[in-house]
Amino acid sequence: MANDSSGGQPPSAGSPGGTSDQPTKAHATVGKEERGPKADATPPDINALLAELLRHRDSRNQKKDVWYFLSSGVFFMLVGALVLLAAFLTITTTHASFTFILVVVGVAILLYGTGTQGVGNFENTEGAARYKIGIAGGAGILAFAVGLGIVLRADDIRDAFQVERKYAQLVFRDKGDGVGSLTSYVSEISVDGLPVPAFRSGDYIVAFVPFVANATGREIQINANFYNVEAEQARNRLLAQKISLHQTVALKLDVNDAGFDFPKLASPIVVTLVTDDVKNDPDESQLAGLGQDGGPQPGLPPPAVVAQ
Amino acid sequence: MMARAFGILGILVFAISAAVAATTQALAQSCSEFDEIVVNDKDPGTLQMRPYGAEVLVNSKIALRCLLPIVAAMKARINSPLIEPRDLARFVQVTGAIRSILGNGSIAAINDFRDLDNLDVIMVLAFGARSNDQVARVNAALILSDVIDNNSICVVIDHLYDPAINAPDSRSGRLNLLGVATVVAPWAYRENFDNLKRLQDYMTPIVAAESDADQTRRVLQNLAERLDFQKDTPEFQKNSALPGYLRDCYRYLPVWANLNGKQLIYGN
Repeated sequence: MANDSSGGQPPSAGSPGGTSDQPTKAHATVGKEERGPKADATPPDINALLAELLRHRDSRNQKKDVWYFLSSGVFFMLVGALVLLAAFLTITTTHASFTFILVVVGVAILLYGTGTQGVGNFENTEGAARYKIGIAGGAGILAFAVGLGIVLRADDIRDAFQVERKYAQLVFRDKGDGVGSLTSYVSEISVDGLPVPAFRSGDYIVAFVPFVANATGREIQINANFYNVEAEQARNRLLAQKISLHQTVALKLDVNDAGFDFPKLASPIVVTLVTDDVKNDPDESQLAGLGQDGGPQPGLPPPAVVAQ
Repeated sequence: MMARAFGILGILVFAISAAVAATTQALAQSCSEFDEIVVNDKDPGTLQMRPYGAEVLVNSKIALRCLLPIVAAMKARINSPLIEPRDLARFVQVTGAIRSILGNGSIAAINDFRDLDNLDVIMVLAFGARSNDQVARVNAALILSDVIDNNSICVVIDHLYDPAINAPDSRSGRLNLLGVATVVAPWAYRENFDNLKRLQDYMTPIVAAESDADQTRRVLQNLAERLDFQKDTPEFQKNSALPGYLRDCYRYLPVWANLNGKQLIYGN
């Protein structure tokens, strides 16, 4: 700036630093360098410079904020929660070991975010030597514990994190009209297209419906066939030979039964065993026997027997 | 000679006694198969008794000989359309078996039933046909429509004069019993023909005043058509009095009919 004040005037002879008529090499150099650009230079816009400075500072602050958030406890808690959510969502479809790892990692990151990064921490700022000692971070401790746990409790881990697939009892019962019972039938039952095991329990047939713990309430498609196995000579002709049943039921557990290993579904399925043609209408040939003269006659309307 | 005669007589008496005892025991044994067996009594709403297997129903005569006394004995407890859960379960169990017998045995089984039944049986079945349980109603109505005849129609007619049967929640029972009444109409003897005519005249205005009784109106129409099938010619039974072997209704004391005039009349 001192040179700027001299303008284009040559320094006076004999003045200090410039007392001699011959300028020093340095002065000559400086003068040669500054003379060109300074000839048409305009003063810089202070406001623009300030704006640029502020923008730069804001940018740095934004980067700083992002970095601050990414290193904050809240961020790690969120990441940990996301990993745990992933474990929850995939527990029914992945291997138990993978679920276990997701859960452990999720818990570790979550705990890191809550502030349990270090088990012990010592910092000295005095004197020329500054040192900081962190004793085993929380995640490291957990990793160690996990490794040890995997080795020592592998079977328990598998049991704890295996897919929560259970079986509910779906009860089939007859209508209870006293005409026949399901003891005269064998069953073939499928749920959502997959055959399921079934057994007889007294007068009922019970099928095992597989379900996962977090999927109750959804609807399942039941397809069932019941085949009459009564001996031919003692067959009740009112009972259907084959009953096909297609029904959609809600996978809703009986609240009084839900604590059992095999809880019952809330509603049993009632199977109508009597064939369609004898459900409500008496056999016309039987009614014909009512006539004392032995049968229906032309022009006689059939009786309007209704059973409801 | 005398001693020999006494000896033969003694053997005969012993043989007869043994045969009677064996028959009685066999009958008792066969009827023990019709004892009640509760399947599920977790709560009164699910009380259910095990249906009888088809093998014990094959011989309809033996089965009905055991079952009809059970039904008749229910008269003491089933004396209204509101049937207690345990009685209801037993009623459904027994009527389900009878329904199976009639359905499998056809006319022969119906005739066996008629040989063995009485008005107590019909009374219990009539209460069942108008009961508070749909399964019981269906069983009873189907049995009655098979077995009702000139000898027992008076009970059904009497029930239809019960003012309570016209209540909205009793109309299924009324419909069932009206349907049963239509069965006898073409073969009704004079007394029953006249009683059915009076029933039709009594019921028609009641049903006409109801807005949701189309099915009942159709049944009443059917009753009229089947009654009209009988002409005033000698070959139709409406022109003859009930024969002696079909006069159980002469001894029947109406419960609801005849409270307001003569509606159910046999003899004088």
